Amino acid sequence: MRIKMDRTIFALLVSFAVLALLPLGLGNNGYIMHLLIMCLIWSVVAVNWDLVLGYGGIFSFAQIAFFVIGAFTAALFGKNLGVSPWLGLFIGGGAACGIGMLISLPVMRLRGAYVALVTLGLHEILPPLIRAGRPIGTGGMGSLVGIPPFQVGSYIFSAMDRVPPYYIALVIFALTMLTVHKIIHSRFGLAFVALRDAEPFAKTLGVDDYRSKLILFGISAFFCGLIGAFYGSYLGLISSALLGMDLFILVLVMVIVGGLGRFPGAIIGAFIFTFLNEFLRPLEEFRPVILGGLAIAVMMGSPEGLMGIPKYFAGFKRFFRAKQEVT
Amino acid sequence: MNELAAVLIGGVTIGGGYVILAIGLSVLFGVSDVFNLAYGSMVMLAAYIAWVLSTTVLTGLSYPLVFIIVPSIMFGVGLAVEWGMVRVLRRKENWHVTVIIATVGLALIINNLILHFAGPFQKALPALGGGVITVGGFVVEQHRIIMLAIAAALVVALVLFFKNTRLGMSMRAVAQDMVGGDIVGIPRNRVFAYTFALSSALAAVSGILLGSIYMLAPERGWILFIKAFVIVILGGAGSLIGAVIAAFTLGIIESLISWQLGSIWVMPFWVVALLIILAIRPRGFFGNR
Repeated sequence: MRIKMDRTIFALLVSFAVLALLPLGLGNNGYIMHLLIMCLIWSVVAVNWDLVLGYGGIFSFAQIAFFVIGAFTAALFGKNLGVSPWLGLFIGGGAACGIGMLISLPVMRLRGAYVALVTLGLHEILPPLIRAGRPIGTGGMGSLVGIPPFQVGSYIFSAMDRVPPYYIALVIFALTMLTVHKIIHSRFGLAFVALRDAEPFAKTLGVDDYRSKLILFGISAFFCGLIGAFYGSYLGLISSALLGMDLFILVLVMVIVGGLGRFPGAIIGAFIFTFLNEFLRPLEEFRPVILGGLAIAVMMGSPEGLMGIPKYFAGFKRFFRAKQEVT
Repeated sequence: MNELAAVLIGGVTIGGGYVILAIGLSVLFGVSDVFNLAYGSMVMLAAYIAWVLSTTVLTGLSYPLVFIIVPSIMFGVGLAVEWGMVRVLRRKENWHVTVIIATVGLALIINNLILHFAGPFQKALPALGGGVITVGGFVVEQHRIIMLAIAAALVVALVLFFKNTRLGMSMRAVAQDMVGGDIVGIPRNRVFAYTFALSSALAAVSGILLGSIYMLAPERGWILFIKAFVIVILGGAGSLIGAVIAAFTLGIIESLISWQLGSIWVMPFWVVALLIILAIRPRGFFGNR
């Protein structure tokens, strides 16, 4: 009997192990640890964006908005009502999921461009709403500060030591990736791929596209909101500056460089661009220009991103294997 | 009562700017099916070019000249973008998706180049004209009348263009049936190129018109883009008369909301309007697609 090990899950487990060991060497470098936490955070957002954009074929631009909704909801609950940040993770995720489902109800049946417009609309109405929410403590034009940190018993996860929060992020990251992997390879996930690649045919086979898309969208929004809530509790401070277009394009570039609909790809994209973004920071306004140019270049050159590259080699491999079988 | 009249006049004026803004997008979407997310940024780019022309480099350059130079520049920019980017993407599979992402990239490039060269402070274009006109007891600023007149003249010109010229008719034919257009020998690529260029030139005109009432800021392009699209959807893609009616309706409602509830609620209004329109009648109320 041959035990079939899924290659993706194997790669994921190895990467979890490597990531879990990283603090042993880098633990006392706070800056690098912070960047690694940001890598994990953006990985979660990018993978969930890819889940709707690449797998679901849903043209959503709202993933950063969900992230911000999750962050603000959890922060407001934590600050105003004293809700524990652990519970806040689920409150943030739930809020993002609820709002996501609500705004997508009328548009999921329509062509992609309409979904893009509505989700971009959600992104654009958040800054004025955050400004208007000053009386309930959203920070208005400034930042929402003093978000309660994570706590276990009497131990507080402070920003002084970045290693403990790193492990929280890693656990969320790992659970998200395993869930996403499970979704993609389930019956449900296959239905999406079928819908994306041959919509009329899939519908003929009885795939309910409207319901499936709504559920997928909800799941993606939930994880974005959840990691947003984590981000808030980790940094202790959030502001509407997160909705600036440069973060938007940064995460979008992570997704497309990783490859649309090529699951672990978005993680690689997130790790590359979180670090690259730091190197580009001295360029100021030219940083988004470079990212924007990169988005265009990837679309024009290799729309499958990095994960499209092995395909060229796969072609060779098949060629040689075929030859061996002949001889 | 007088205040209400002023608000309504303001709404109608903004509506005039929105008409051109929306027609530029509607033409592009209707004819070539391209969803240009950099449209709002192109509007802002045009407004900034106008600002550079009329205030810094050539002080006192008259507005009629600006209205000729800036749309011409944007016409060229549109041709270049179509030729260099959209056409290349169109040849590949999945181009609806790749064009949207590539135009987001383009928008970011334009916005940040503006930010780099013009600085973070908001700019203002000079008013289109000074003085006031009294019509039946109501005082109307002259620049509002000029704005409406330009918008009206341009709409008439566009109607004539689509009805009578060969290029205009080709555009309508391609909008109705792309394959049919190919069969009768319409050069599809040329039509797409001119459509993109026309769309950019209209973006330029609306940028100057709206820039003469609002302050200029690169990030505002996104908001203008969403507004333009809501108008296009309400009016129906490819329908001129629909765009006109939708632009004035939404412009007036926007002014009323800004007056009664405050300007913070303007964007939520547009998004809620969008959701309602899409829930009730996603094809718009006048369109044929």
